Amino acid sequence: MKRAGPLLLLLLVAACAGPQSALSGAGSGSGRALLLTIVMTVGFTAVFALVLGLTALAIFGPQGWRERFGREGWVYGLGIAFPVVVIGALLLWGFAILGADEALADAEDPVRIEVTGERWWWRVTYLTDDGRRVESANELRVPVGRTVELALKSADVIHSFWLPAYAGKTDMIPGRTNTLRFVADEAGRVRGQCAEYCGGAHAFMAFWVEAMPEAAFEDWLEHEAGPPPETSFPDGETVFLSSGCGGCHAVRGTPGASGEIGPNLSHVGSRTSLGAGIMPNDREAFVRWVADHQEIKPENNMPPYDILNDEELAALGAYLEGLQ
Amino acid sequence: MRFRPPRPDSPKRVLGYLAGLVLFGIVGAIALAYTGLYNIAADHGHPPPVYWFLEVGMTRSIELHADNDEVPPPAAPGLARLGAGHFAGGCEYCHGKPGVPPDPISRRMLPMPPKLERASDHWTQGELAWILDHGIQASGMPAWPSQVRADEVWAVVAFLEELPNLSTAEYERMVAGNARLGARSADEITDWGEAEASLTGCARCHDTPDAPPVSTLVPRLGGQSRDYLLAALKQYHLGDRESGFMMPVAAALDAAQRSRLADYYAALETPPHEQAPPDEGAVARGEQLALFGDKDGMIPSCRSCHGEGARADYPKLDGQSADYLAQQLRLWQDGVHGRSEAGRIMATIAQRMSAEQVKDSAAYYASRPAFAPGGGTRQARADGAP
Amino acid sequence: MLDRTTDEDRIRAFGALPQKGLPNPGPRPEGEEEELLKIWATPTGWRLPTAVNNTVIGILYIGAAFVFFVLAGILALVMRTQLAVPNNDLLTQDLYNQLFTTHGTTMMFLFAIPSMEALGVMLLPQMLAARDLPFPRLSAFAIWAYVVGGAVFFTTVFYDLAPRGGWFMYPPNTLKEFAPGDNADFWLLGIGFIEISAIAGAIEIIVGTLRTRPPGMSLDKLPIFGWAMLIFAGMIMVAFPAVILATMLLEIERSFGWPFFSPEGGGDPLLWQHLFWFFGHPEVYIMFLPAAGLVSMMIPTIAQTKLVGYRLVVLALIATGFFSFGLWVHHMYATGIPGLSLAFFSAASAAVAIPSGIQVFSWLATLAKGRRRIRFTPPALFLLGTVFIFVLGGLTGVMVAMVPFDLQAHDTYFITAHMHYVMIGGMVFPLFATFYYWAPMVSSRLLSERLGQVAFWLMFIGFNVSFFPMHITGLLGMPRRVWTYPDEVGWGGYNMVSTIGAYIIAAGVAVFIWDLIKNFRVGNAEEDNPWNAGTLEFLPQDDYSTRSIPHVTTRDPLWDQPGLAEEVKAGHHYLPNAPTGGRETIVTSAIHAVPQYVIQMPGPSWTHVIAAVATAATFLLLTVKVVTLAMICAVVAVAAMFFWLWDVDRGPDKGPVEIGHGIELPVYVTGPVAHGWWAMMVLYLVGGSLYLSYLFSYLYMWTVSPETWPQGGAGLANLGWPLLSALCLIGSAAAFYFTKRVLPERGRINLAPALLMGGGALLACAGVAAEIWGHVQAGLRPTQSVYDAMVYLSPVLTGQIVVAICFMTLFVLLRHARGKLDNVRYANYENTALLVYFAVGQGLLGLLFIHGFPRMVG
Repeated sequence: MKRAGPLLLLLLVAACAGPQSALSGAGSGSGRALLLTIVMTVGFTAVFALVLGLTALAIFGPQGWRERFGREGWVYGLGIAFPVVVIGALLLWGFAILGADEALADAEDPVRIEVTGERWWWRVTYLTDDGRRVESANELRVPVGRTVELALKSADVIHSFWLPAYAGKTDMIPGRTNTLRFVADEAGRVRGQCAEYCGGAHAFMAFWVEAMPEAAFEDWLEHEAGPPPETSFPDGETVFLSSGCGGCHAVRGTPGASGEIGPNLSHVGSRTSLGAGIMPNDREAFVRWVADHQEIKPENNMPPYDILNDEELAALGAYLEGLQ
Repeated sequence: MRFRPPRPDSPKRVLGYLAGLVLFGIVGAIALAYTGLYNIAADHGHPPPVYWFLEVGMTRSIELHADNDEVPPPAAPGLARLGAGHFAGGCEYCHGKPGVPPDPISRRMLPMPPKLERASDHWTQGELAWILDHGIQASGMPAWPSQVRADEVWAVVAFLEELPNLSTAEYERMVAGNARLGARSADEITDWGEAEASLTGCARCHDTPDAPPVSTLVPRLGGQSRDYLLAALKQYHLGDRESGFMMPVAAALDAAQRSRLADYYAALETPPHEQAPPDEGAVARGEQLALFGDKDGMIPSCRSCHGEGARADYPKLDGQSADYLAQQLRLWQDGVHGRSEAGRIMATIAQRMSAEQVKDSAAYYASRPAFAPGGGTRQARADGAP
Repeated sequence: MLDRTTDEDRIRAFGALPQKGLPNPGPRPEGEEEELLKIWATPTGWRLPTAVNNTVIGILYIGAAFVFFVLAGILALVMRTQLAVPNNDLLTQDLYNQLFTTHGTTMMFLFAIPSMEALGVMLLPQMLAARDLPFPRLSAFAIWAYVVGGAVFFTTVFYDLAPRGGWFMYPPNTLKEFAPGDNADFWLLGIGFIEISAIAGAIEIIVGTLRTRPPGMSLDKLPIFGWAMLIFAGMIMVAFPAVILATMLLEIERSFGWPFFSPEGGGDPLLWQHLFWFFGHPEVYIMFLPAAGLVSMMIPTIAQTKLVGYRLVVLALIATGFFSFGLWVHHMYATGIPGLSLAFFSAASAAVAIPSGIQVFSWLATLAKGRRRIRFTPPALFLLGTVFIFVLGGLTGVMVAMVPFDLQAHDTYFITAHMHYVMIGGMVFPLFATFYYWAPMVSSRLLSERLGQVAFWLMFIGFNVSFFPMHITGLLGMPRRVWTYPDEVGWGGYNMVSTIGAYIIAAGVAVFIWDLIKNFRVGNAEEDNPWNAGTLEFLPQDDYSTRSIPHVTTRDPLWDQPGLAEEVKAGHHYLPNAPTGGRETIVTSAIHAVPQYVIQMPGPSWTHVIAAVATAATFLLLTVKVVTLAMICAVVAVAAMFFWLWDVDRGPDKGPVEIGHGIELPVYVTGPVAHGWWAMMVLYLVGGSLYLSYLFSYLYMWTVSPETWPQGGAGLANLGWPLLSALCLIGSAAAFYFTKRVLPERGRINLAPALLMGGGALLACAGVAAEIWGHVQAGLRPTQSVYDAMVYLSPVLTGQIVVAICFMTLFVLLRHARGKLDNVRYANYENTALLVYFAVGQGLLGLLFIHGFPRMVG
């Protein structure tokens, strides 16, 4: 089953791939890599079958065949000539794919986004055409069909930005800026995750990406750049401001909430997930997060807020959910 | 196999002798304990060899363990007065005071607690600090009430340095601190009632309407937020916040008393700390940190929790002494503070601060006009502002 | 000079080795074998730890490595249990992070490399029919340091002190800022021990393989395993210095804040990755090559025919060693390296498949050539399992060499799968085959064939069930080193299967352990050659190894030289006795294996054991910052080493001796013939590649942070100090050079050598001090920028050799004072002088570079 299996398995697996699969090939680069994957899997399954067949021949084969196979010539042929040809061909193709990925650098008017890896979340800053910097966190929205150019940085240790559905991974290294370009071919919502072990809560450093039609993206970005609607939960806002949340988190348009240390919360209520891709994003989740975040995501850098009582937590949850 | 005795000078033989001696000593000691032959009555006194053994053992032990190279924290103004306040409450009963013999009960202890006028001649500062911090086994001398506040014992060391020069009256004035009545007596408690008597205990060190705290290491309480005061007293009472000065005092206070004290101080107008003018550069850097935080160091602005509109149970910092603020921040950094809910928040942040940032932020808040009851500052009140 | 005997001299003196007739044809005198047995007797009872014979300490070595394999395997089981279902909270995040770090580190550094070295120590001398390795106490020392240090490192996992930075320990995650506490230092400590024992092992193996072969076994008759170990040791010499430097840099940055890896001071986290993988990738082949060598030894026996393509296989081994140094960047495809370099490294990575292919097809061809169909004994099964697993791992290896694919697969479970296929297929299965195949060398009983088959099938099936699904989990997006994962990503089922597989492997290992308990008994085998193998390790053996050292004329002497076993056992070959009355073996020339001298070797001793334990204690105590006690242990360690070395240099009094065929050999030599001289040359290579790693780091940092380098000559040291330093260094070398001219006659003592050597050592110290002082004067501070740190590092590197020189000089002076140094017996002096020349050479190169380079580019 294993001998004939991989291709079959691969197709089976690709068909029921989850949101973080490298087998979905929904982007430019990931599509090319997927084709390479499939070709190599099929080809190498054949090579593997050949080796197993030869092993069987060497052990169980008829005496005459075995004698013929027991000569040094075979070692030259199968051990040197055959791999040189196969590997050479593969390498050339691999380089071609690399070249195609690099060609994205010439795209006109890419969407420029700066993503900074922090322990253990993602700071996302959209650089608009008119020169504004719109900060968000733990979620990317990108237009379908247009080149996305990510400037990848790190604020502390090495992280790696990996969005399997659209592109391979690229490391985020302190003191350097790496660039990753991709095109999302179809609309949808996919998941990405930090791929380089970055200490403590590495397992909890994920994010969602929503690819949307170009016009919807522009509208969304315009909304994102502005302040959230006036809150209908002033009590929650009071808890937020008086407890010091604003020292680390910013809410656009709210004086007293201009901190830049933690994720920007201006539109936190409209995001897909909470805690960098690890929780749903609703009122209960906000309450749970504030009350228990050190249990939910151990070692994260937010101070524990055990000081808040249930009433205050509920008000805070409602306020945060309302930051749409 | 033939048995061959080891040669007389062989290491094996020497080891054999040594092992025998050790075994004999252990057996002897156990026998002495089990037979009960030794008389341990306190009125009986130590036989001279035992006395010698204990005395030399204690002295050598202290000399060995005390770290004379340890640098005491820079002398804060009024340090000895702070130590005096604790001495009156914790030490005087056994060790007596200038011109007055110790209590008759404590005089029958064995070993008899020494009078301490000459303590600073006999011991170095490092040794005194060690004794105060660790206490002495089987002598009645207790260790410091908080085992994580070795920083506090230096106040008592400073006081012991001054003790030889004090007359009875000077001593009384010094230990009374800001309290108008000196140490409380049985009369006072009956006349003044429990709350006022407690206040006498508080006023030894803390601020009163007429005087600032006795030391810059002592926080000013007048006008502080009531919720914060109540929380702090409760934490000291339960031992959740560590201080060898405050824990013994707060242990005796019940909830009602703590509440009355918090009410009292929250409404009290007191003069600000007397402290040296701060370094302007530090104040400017501290202001930057207090108002805007340090993004790279992941330190939020101090103002976000200690500014206008903050929660009632967060303390006010304006005009508090720099020595006190910096010391508290260091305690958070060292993990001493941080068992309370609010303390855990501050601990997270304090641990990200550099030594310089601790000093700067303390200098900034010390340079601010002092807080006063009901919000606003004393300065503003004096100027007639609302 | 008399002692400079070359092959040509030897051949001129004795003619070529006689090919006909036995070296010692007559009957052997009574009591000779008893004397040999007495001399080579293994210490018993509480003296057992003093043993140095390669078979005894080899068992300790391989046993310890196997224990670490089982322990790290148990950690893997715990982790697999945690990962069996989504959102599991059996383990905490922090514990899981410590577990995977400890698992990886233990498997790589405490199991894989040591087990291969252990087989080198244990099998190689037997394959070469040498009585022992040339430096028995050195290997015993390294093994004890490894056992003690490794045990302490592993136990940190029980009290929350284990490192949590991953076995690759990438900074900045492992710098003080993000990894406070001593945990990361324990990792550095564990690596320190393995660095010591690996280098010691490499010296032993290179000198052993090249110089203690039996007469007649020219290099082209060397068993494949010998070739593999030679290349293995060569790779260690080149690769380990890179990681030694990397760990030094990391510890220096952690302890003293020199900014090698922090961008704030101009450092670069990628410097670590370059150094680490320059070591780390070859390391994979360091593990694989010896195992491949073992396979190439076992396959012919199983097929009962000679290996097909011996020369090709040797070439393949050499090529693998060579290629492996060109691939390190394939661990760094995602770091943003330019496309052109990617293409180069991609090609090199894929090309390494070719030598592996050669070996696999050579094995298959050998199996086919065998006259009879093979029997499925446990070794045969494990070897076939090797082919299956390793080929699959090799194919996925070619996949990940392709950059576009790797950018998806990198740091996912696909790599976890690939890497375990390569390691377990390439190393663990051959190791189990080895256990079954070579057990009769140390055990009086063979292991059970039936249990072996059960163990094999459990391990083989369990392995594939566990690791094959990981390919898929990885492609479905599961990153490595995550302690838990959510439900929504759909990895749950595959992980459950992997966990079940892991338990099946564990069952297989448990069956093997049961087999060991039941059947493994240390002692001489009932049957000398149960598999009918062709190589010398299956000669009749006792504590002294072979009764006499055979004259070898072919690659498979037991097959091609009928009657050899009986002749050897009857003492008809070389050195059937103990002419000096102590432990000894024959040293032969490197290429043609012509006998050159008889080496006198030290026997059991506590000194090296104490030195090892004290060395381990010193580093441990330093890690937990108990400095005083650490220094005491350091003194004990040095003292123990002095005692140890005191009786190693035994002098020429008992020679020359006759070994057979009328060949008379000296028992004491100095100069380029001596094994000590060869060991120093190996050290030269190690030291040289350490310094080259440093030069690489310097230049690399210059390309990354040129702005921290002096601009336009500003901030450069006044040339006076480096000149003074150079003069001191040259003076030091000259002092040692001229010492040889004034060495006294035998039995005399004169003052001149003492003055010259003492002065020379002091001059070397002064040279390093002058260099450092010059930088201090120029205002450089190592914590300031990466340039400053790199500048100071050069004298630090030279300084540590100078410290060693000071101790060695002290030792030589002590020998001189006791009349044990003269113009014949001067090996100690010679080795010290060789080290001085090296230090001086490195120091001068450093001066030229440190002071020249900035002036050249500035």
